[in-house]
Amino acid sequence: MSDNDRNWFITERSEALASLMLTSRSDVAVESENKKDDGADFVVAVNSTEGPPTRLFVVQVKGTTSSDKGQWTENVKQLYKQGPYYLPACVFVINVRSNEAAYAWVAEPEVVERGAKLNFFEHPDFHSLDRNAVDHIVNRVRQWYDAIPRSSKTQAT
Amino acid sequence: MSKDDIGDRGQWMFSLIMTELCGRDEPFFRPRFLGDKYPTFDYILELVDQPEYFFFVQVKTTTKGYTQNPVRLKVHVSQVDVDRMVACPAPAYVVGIDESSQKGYLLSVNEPRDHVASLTTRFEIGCTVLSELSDEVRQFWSTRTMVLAASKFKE
Repeated sequence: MSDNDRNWFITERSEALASLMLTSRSDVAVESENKKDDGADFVVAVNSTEGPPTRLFVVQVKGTTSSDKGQWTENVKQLYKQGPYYLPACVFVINVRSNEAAYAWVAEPEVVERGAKLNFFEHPDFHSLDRNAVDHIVNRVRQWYDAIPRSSKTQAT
Repeated sequence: MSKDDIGDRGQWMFSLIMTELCGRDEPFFRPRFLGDKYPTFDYILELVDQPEYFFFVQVKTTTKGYTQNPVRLKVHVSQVDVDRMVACPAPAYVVGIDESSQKGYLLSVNEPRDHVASLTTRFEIGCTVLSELSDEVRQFWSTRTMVLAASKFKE
């Protein structure tokens, strides 16, 4: 049996836990997912019930059986070398043994005076992932999309 | 929340409940979704350490909660589905899920009975029920000879 076969439950459980956390908000839907050996990549939509999904962000889900944050950093470090990212993106690390979870921004949405920008990092800065954290993530994404028209206007003038 | 959303969340909760590690290196069961068009059953679950032993499950998720006195989960399984489960030659169960508490409840549907109007909460799924279910399924298959010995298509 290969390691991938042996680790099926890491993918299944991390995907299910991440999906449940995200969709605990009624205005959030997982639009598409790409399963991987140790998790999944989600494209997540905010306000998906109000017509075609246009406010999207990316969640890269990494499952683990380790509670060692040093190992989490090691497991996700390649995400910080990928890119470029044109949408807000974060990584969820989920310990499928304890169901504990943490998140870190890969491309963090930020509202600035004249619009919106994405901040990029070289290393993950993990925060505990719970319902409040999901609210925080979704609100940041929502505010970022609200600010984009200001950016376009600034560039046009 | 739409009916589809409740169904999706129910499937994720089912997957989590049934693959709880319970201090082991691997879960007891590996669930495999049968697809939206498969009749009666939603999942086939294999014993992880003996995948030739399996059982079927219909998952019912509700946001309506419980009846009072007795406390039973407000899910319904039709007589047609009950009859199909009983006719199935493999072990068959219903798992009811309360969406708000994310708790699951098990019911065996292997002997003739009326439709399920609401689900008993006697068998809340946790590590003890998972272990006992594993034993039940293993016992079922290990005491049967499942070999088709006289096939006309033998070489």
